Amino acid sequence: MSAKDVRATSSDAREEIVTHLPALRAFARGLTGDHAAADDLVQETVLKAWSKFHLYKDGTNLRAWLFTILRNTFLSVMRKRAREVSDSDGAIAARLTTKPDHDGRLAMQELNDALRKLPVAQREAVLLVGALGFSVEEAAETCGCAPGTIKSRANRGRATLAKLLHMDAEDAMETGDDPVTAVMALSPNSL
Amino acid sequence: MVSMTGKNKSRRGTVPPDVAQQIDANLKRLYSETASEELPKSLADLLAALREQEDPKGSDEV
Repeated sequence: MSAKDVRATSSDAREEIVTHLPALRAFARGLTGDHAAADDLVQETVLKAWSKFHLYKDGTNLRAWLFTILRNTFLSVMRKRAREVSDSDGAIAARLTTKPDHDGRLAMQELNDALRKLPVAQREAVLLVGALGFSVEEAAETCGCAPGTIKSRANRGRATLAKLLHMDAEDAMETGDDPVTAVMALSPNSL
Repeated sequence: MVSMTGKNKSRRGTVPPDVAQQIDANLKRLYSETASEELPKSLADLLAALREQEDPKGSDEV
């Protein structure tokens, strides 16, 4: 295989990154709760993945590799923010402190708000397994922990969401103004 | 710790399967919107720049 062929193959494989961007944006939005911060996070992830693609082992799970980069970047930003609480002009860090975008859809906001109240470990488990359809094993690979840990974190995350959204009370689902009931009432196209 | 009431009472840290399914379904709805959106221009521009950087003079260059 010529140098040109090697480069073309590498380039083709790297193009696969693009196919995962929509899901990466969804994960980033769920982690940050903010559209602009999420897109910054995805840009950072793409830059890292593109420049370090030689570290990706061909034939392994590219999606898990990309989600791991995004997750680690997010955690790094969070740690930096914790150290530099006075940081006022860091692009992502500053945006992570802002309120989420308001789109006028209260139910969506309620669910997003509840999600952001979860500890990061539970939030990422709920997002990967619950929202994005990862298997427990793939989520464990992404987060660098055991499948049982992911299962436990996702369960605890769901339990906390249920409490925050009043889904744990016997009569909660009977109230028409409950945020989750409102979400359930919306058609997918209206969200 | 999650407080469960009445018939939905469950052991600590878990929710009934039907509630878990509702939560997952709602989350999927929320994030399916993002997954179906077009990429923002900033991200498309970044990809174009990375591709250009990779092969600035076209694929004929070895």
